[in-house]
Amino acid sequence: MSGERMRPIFPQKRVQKELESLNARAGEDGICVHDYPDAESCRIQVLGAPGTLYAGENFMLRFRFPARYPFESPEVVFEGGSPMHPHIYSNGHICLSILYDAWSPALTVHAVCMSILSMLSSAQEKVRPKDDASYVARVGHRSPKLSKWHFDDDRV
Amino acid sequence: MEDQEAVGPPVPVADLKVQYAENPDFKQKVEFLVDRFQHMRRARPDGSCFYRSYLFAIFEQMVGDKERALAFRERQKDALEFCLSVGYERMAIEDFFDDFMELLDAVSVEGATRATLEDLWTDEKDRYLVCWARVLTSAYLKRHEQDFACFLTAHSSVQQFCAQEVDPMTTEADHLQITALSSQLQVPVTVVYLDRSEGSAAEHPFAHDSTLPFTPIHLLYRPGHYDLIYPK
Repeated sequence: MSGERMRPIFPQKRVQKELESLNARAGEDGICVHDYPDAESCRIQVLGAPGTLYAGENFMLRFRFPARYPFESPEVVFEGGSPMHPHIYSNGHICLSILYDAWSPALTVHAVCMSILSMLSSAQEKVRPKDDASYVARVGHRSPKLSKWHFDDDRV
Repeated sequence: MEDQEAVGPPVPVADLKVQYAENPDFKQKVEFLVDRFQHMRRARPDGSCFYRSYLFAIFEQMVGDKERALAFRERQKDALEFCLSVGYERMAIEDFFDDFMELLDAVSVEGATRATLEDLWTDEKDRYLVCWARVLTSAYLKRHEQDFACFLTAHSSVQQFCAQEVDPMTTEADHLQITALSSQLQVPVTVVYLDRSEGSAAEHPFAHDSTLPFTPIHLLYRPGHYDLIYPK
């Protein structure tokens, strides 16, 4: 056993099932479980799709699963450098409705990653949201689920 | 909000008279309701009240009734595959389907009573069942996209409508959701509207052409909320 991190047993059966399935098809769709920073979190590496502004770029998403997952949404942020994108803040917060008001228990880690990748793919230019500086100064690194989000257009 | 039971015990419809005593706009309609209906069950008002009321009443009709349960089970046995065919992930929805079918079996056995159903309908069960109802509704809307697309006003596609107005657990059901779910389940339901409009309470039937052996369920609608109501 080298330095490989032990895979934790998540109390939520659904989390366990989802991560096992993601591991079984590691790398498919540019989505790959990276590691488990603590007993309630998992980091997932996503790869920008070919032919898009982010082609070949790797990003790290951190999922934190609340006890009531999947009835409550996971907390999802970019860690260690977030993509320059009109709906992604420099503190890693993502403006995507399914992570907040429009979350559904029928969504999965995989579905969330696909939505985020699709959001990256449809970007026209690499820019930060207009209110990036003020938003990040205001919320810092607290949970994005505490922010009041306005969703103009999920697709871009 | 969780202080209130997901689906409450039967209470007399006449209780509405007290609630609306100071409200002349509703007086006539409340009297009409009291004439026609015996009791009601209040549903927790968290956006899922239509889904849980309708499902609860369906299960209530199958309590100890093998024939109904069999007909309903036959209609629902392929429902999981149906939902997978419109793009849901098996892992994300199979538990909801399993819970739904387990409850069906548990309430339809001989000797089961309404109390059996009430006891089994825990908050956790309620979340699973509501979620399944929402998935079924979305799946039906997506499968019959051409029939529904023309009714959309604020959404660009049926897909978007489902993602914003059906799947999230806090979104309320309106005409399209009721049409879709009742068409999928094939259990007739009548929505009785209690609002400030003129005349007696308007009623709207859904899936009344169903051939399944169920009697129509009645839901009392007040703006933003549904409760179960039972005819005399």
